[in-house]
Amino acid sequence: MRRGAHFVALALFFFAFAAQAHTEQSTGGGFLTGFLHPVTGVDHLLAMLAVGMWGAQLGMPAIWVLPVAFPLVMAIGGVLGIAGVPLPGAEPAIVLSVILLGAMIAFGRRPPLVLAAALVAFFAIFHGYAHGRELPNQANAVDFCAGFVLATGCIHLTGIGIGTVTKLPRGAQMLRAGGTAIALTGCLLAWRLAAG
Amino acid sequence: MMRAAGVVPFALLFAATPAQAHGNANLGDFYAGLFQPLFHFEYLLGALAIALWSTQQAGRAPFAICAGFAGGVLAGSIAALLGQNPASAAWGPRIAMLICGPLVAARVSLPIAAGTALAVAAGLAQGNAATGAELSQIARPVLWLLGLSSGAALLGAYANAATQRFPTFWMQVGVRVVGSWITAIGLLVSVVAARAR
Repeated sequence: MRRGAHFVALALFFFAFAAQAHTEQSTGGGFLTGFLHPVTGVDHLLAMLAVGMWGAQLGMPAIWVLPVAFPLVMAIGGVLGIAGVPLPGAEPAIVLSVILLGAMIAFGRRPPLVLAAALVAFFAIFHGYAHGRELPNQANAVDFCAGFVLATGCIHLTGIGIGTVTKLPRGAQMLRAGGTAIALTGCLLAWRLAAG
Repeated sequence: MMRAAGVVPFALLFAATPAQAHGNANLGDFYAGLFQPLFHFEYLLGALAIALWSTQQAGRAPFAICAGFAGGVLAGSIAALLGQNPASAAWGPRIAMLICGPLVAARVSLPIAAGTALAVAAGLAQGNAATGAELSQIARPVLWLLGLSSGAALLGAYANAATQRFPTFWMQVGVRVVGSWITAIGLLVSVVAARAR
């Protein structure tokens, strides 16, 4: 009986209808577009996840300092992108961030907090720059900015959540395996970038 | 019998119709004011920055800041309704984000007088900008004023209630993280607005 109820509940997910209660008045495709920008770009997604996971691996206070510092510095990169300031090598730097942050988790590196924050902040500029370059073409800049900043924060929180596996038996090894997977994916992205 | 009772709620899910609960009680402007921030991220985030910052203060400062902000919103709105609506007021929410966002992220405490003055100034700018932008749509100014200032007060009250209900370390961290998000959005939005001028 319980199994049947679970099956019915799961099956209902596949029969979702359009919501009827809300008339369509958008705060915007701009918000959704901005929110999806870090989520749908695998390089952004993995780097943000890695920031959260690395923070969790480093423990206090890095677990919250890194996610607080990242959006602030990312915004500076975003400003450079909006202003059209040329920042050479942004794409390679983003891919490098995936590899390096993944490797930090994989090898369990524990640099001093200032160094870890500086490394994350350095890469945050390039991620923000990429978001900022996309922004001027959007219909609603406010919603777009809110979307990509919130998405970035949510991915960090997800990474921190993943990082809590360290509390499980063999969790530290599982987390390092996750870091290895991120770094290897970063290598694949670098190869594709180099191949054009 | 039990099984039938379980099927009925599921069946009702498939019979959704447009909401019928709200008749026309001529309170449109109250709700328009109350929910104005929900449809404008700048205003919502500016007010949220003030509300979150108030939760980080001690003693009577949270109440003073929230009341000061709501009072400022009311005064700024009245000024706009009386025709005092400078274009520069539109920068109010952005400046609130840029000043209060970092204060939240860094968990800075100010003397109660300075904090209240900051909240009043932010409220004045925010209320003036919000009312100025919607001026042509407002049919019942008193309801609009009540709605807008109630929304500002409620946001502060809810923020304080939530942080006092869950006074955990992670709640404090969460507030600071949101402060950094607000700062980032404020910086980006300000640059976009400056470029658009």
